[in-house]
Amino acid sequence: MNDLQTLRAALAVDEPPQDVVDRSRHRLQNRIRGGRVSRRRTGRLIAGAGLTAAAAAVAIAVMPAAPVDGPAVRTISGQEVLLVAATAAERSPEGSGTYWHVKVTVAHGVAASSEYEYWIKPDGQSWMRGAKTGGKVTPLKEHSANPFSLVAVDLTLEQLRTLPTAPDALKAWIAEALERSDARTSAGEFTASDREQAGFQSLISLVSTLPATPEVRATAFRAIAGYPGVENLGTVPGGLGLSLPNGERLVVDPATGRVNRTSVFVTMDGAVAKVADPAGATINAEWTDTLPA
Amino acid sequence: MRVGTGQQVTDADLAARLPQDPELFTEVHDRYFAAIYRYAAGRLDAQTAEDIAAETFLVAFDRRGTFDAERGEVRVWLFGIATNLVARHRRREARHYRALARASVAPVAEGHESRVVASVAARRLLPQLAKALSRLSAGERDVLLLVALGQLGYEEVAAALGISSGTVGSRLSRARKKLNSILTPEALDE
Repeated sequence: MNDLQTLRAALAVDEPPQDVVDRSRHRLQNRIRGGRVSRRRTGRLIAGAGLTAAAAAVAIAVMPAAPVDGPAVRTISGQEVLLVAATAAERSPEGSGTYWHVKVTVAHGVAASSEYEYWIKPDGQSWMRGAKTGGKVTPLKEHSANPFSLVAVDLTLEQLRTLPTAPDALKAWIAEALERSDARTSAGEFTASDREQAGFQSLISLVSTLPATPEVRATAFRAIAGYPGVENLGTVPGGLGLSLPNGERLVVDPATGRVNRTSVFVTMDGAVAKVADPAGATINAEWTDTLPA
Repeated sequence: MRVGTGQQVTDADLAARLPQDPELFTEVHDRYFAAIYRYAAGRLDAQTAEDIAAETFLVAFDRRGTFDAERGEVRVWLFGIATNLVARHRRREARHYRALARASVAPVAEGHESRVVASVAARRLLPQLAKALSRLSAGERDVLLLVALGQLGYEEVAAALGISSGTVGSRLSRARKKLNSILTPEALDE
């Protein structure tokens, strides 16, 4: 035997036991059928991943090429979903209309759901419809000069649309605004931790229920992506589910950058509403010319 | 497998069909798992080897769109992936070699009579070999073991690792020199 043969004889191992083979084959079959999303240059996703072709195209277009000796298999991370959504948001055409219309639908168990809707005109007039109004579209008496609300911070449309378009700058802007606000929780004045949470929820409202510009929405997505502990929960109705810090959840359609569901939303008057249903509330936010009678 | 009756699908055919036909990947697993497993198990402890072997096929499946049949064989590509995965477990590899280096009784191999004799003798070298292997550079060790355990040729090792065959040659040569005193024919004689 030459040296290599001796080495082989010294190290060599028997055939793998059948259970080892079977376990591995089983894992592979789960992967083949389960259809996890991966980063590949051909731009095709495994069928069953549940994303539309458009989403797939966006996903592949913005992700860096797979490293040659990269880590073992993984799905798209939560962070990557947000970054993909950011790009999609940037490219989505901004709607236009007279009223900014937001409809929030919350499920109560299987059969029932309640809706809360509002219309905001940039000049400050607003209307709402929901349980409190008995299902009628009701104008609000007070016209707010700053009708668009981040958490505890009220802005004009102009201010909203000129927010910073870099993630750190946006976060800093929000943090500063919160410090200057006279926001309070039921426990008293905002603590630093309250402000942190409010800042985070403000970012969520920028991507979900506020008429931010495409650039600002993209910036907000990127800012959220910078938080640790963002997890991709996989395909759910409405898009990809994301688990965010503080127990918040979003469902994002990465193809369009729309947020279709959220576990927390900011109401018309800047208050934070948390949704009890783990599936969150369905969000529909858009510019419209129609105000129902 | 969707092939005509009586027709054997060659590896080249398999490779060509992989991008379109994901289910075929279980065929790839059936053909190569044993070889990948034995390579990994020759380098690391059994549990880690099993994980690496399984992971190799999952990674390969995920990257099947990037496999270029023109550039080489599926088998070689798989060994490349497996070697990259081994590289992610350097600490476990080091621990494995330390454990082998301390072992006073080497396990007995099964098999054909004459191979048993040779294997038993070779296995007695394991403690010294383990020490020497742990002292090779990672690059030398990868090349040496792809050749000795994986039984890949020079060009195949080059393709698997993404290096030139010249580099393969020089690393193999250095590795063999360093192990030379242990692997002499005399060492096998009783």
